[in-house]
Amino acid sequence: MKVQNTNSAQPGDNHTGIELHPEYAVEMLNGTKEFGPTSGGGPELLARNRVRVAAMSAPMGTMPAASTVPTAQLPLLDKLGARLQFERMGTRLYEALISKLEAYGTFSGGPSREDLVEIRDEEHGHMQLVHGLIVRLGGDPTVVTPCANLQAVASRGIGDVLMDPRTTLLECLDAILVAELTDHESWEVLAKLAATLAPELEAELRQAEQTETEHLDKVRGWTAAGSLPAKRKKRADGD
Amino acid sequence: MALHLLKDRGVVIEKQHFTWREISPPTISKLDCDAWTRVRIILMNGIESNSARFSHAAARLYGGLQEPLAVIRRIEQHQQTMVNWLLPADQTPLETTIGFEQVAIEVTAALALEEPDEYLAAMYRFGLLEDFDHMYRFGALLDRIEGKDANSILQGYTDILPGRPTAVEHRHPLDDLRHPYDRKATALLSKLHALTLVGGEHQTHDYYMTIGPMFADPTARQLYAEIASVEEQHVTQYESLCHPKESILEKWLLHEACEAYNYWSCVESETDARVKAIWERMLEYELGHVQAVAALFEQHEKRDPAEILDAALPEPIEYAPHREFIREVLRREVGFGASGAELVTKREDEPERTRKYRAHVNQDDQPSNIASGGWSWQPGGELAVPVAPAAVPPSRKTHEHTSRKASS
Repeated sequence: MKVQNTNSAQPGDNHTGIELHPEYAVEMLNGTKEFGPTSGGGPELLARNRVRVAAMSAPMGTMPAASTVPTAQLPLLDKLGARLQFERMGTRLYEALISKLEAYGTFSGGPSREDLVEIRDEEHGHMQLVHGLIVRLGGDPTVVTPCANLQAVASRGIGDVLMDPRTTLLECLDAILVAELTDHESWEVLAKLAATLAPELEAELRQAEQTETEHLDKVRGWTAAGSLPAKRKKRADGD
Repeated sequence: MALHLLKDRGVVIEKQHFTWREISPPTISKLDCDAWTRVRIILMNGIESNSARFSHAAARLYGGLQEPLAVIRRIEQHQQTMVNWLLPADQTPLETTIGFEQVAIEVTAALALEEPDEYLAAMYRFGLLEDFDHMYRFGALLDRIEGKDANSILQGYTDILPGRPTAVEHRHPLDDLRHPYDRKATALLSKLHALTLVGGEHQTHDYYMTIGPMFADPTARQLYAEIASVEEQHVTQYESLCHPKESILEKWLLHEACEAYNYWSCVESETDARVKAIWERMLEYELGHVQAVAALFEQHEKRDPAEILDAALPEPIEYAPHREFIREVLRREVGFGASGAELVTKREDEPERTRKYRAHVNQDDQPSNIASGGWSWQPGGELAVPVAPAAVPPSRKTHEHTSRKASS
C-alpha cells in the first residue's frame, strides 16, 4: 500500500507560477504595452453572444412524448430520473473511493473500508428505490431525463478526481463532499415535490433523505479530520 | 552528436513490441512538468499521426506496399498511443490547446531560424504569426471561460500577444497554396522541416475539429470553428511545400526520417528521465523503420537511399524561447498577406478572391475578436488586475457600510 499522501501541499516541482521565471514575466508584461489588443470591447462581448445564441436555442432535452404519466407529474418524474442517475453514479464514485482507500490507506479520523462499503450499498439501495418509484408512477426508468442529464454534466469532474490514480483518499473525499451536498439538497427538493404531486411517495423519499443527511455528516467529519495537520497520520501507524 | 539516418540502425522491426500496459503509461504532471516536455509530447503525437495518415493514403493507392505499410503502421499506432497517453486527464481541452499553440509557435520559430531555404523560411514566419495570434485568442478564452491564466501552461517561455489578427488570416484556398521545394536540390533538413510542420498543423486542425463541439460556450465553439479553418489553411500551405512528384517510397522514407529526426531532438533536450527513456526507445524504433523502408526503396526503385538521406543531421530542433525573434518578425511582417504562392507585404495587395472570401466569412461575427475584445495578458488573468475603489458598485459600498455600522 502507498503511504497516505495527504501532504501534496509540500515543496515540490510546481512550474505554473510566474515567479519561476521573473525575468520572463517582465518581458511578457512589457510586450503587452507594445502589442496591445487589436479589437475593442471586453468580457461583455462573450455575455452578449451567450444571450444571442440562447434566444435561438432549443431546450437541451425534454421528457418522452408517449407516457402514461400525467403531465402534471412530469416534473416529479424528471427529478426522480435525476436521483436515479445521481445515485447510480454515486455508487460508482464510492467504488472508486474504496480503491483509493486500498491504494493509500486511511488517516486518523478518516473512513474505514466498512464505512465506505456501507455508503456505497446505501447509494445503490437509493438507486433501486428510485427505479421502483419511477415504475410505480408509470414512468420508464431507462429514460435520461433533462434534470438527470444536467446533474451528470454538472458533476462529471467529481469522477475525474476520484478515478485519477494520482489523487489520494483525502483529496477524493473533498470531491465527494461536492456530490453529497448536491445530493442532500436534491433529495430534500424531491421530497417536497412529491408531497404535492405524489404524496404516496413522500415517506420513502424522506427516509432516503435522512440517510443522505447521515452520508453528508460522515463525509464532512472525515474531510475535517483530514484537513487538520496534527491528525494527518496513518491509521496503520497505530495512531 | 549528429544523427546518421542510415548508419544508426536502431531496432529491427521484428523486435518492436508493446503491451497494453506499456502504451498507457503513468502521465506527466500538468503542474510539475516543464512546459517543453508537454510541447514535445504534443508535437510527437502530431508527427506520428501524420505518418499514420500518409501510410493509409499510400495503402489505398499502392496495393503492392500494403503489407509493409500495415506492419510499420501498427507499430507506429502504438508509439503514438504511448506518447499521447502521457498527457494527464486534469489538463482540460482548452489548456491542451494552449500547449498546441505553444508547439506551433516555438517549433515553427526554431525551424524558421534554421531553415536554409529563404522561401521556405518566409512561409514558416508567415504561418508563425498566425499561430501566435491563435495563442492570444485562446489565452483570452481560457481566462474568460475557465478563469485561468494560460501562462500556467506556457511557463513564461512564450508570449501571449496579438499576432496577425485571426480575422484577417482567412484567405481564398488558392492563396494558401505555395511553390513546392525542388526535390533534387533541396537539403534533407528542409524537407524534414516541412514535414514536421505538416504533422504539427494537421494534428492541430484535427484536434480542434474534435474538441470544438465539446464546448458549451457559444464563443468558444465559434472560436474553435474559426481557428480550425485557419489550421486547414496552414496544412494546405505546408503540405504544398512538399514536392508532389516525390515517389511514394521517397515520401515514406522522408516520413520515417522525419520521425527519427524529431525523436532524436526530443532525446537531446528532454529533462524528464522517464519521458526521455520513451524518446530513446522511439528513436531506436524509428531508425529501424528507416532501415526497413530504405530496403524497400532499394528493392522497388533500384535507387540508393543515400540519394534521399544523404547528409547527417548535425543539430536537433531547439526547444527554447524565441521571444525576440518572434517579436522582430511581428514588427516586420504582421501586415503581410498572400497572393497565390507568393507573399505580399501589404494586405491591400491580396487578390480580390481573398478579400471577398474574408469579407463573407467575417460578415456576421468575428469570433476571435469577441473572445479577446480589449484583452491583454496579465499574470493571474484580467480579473487579477486590482479594481479601483470607484469601480465598486455604489450598492455594494452602501451594503458594506451598513454591515460595518450594524456590527459596531
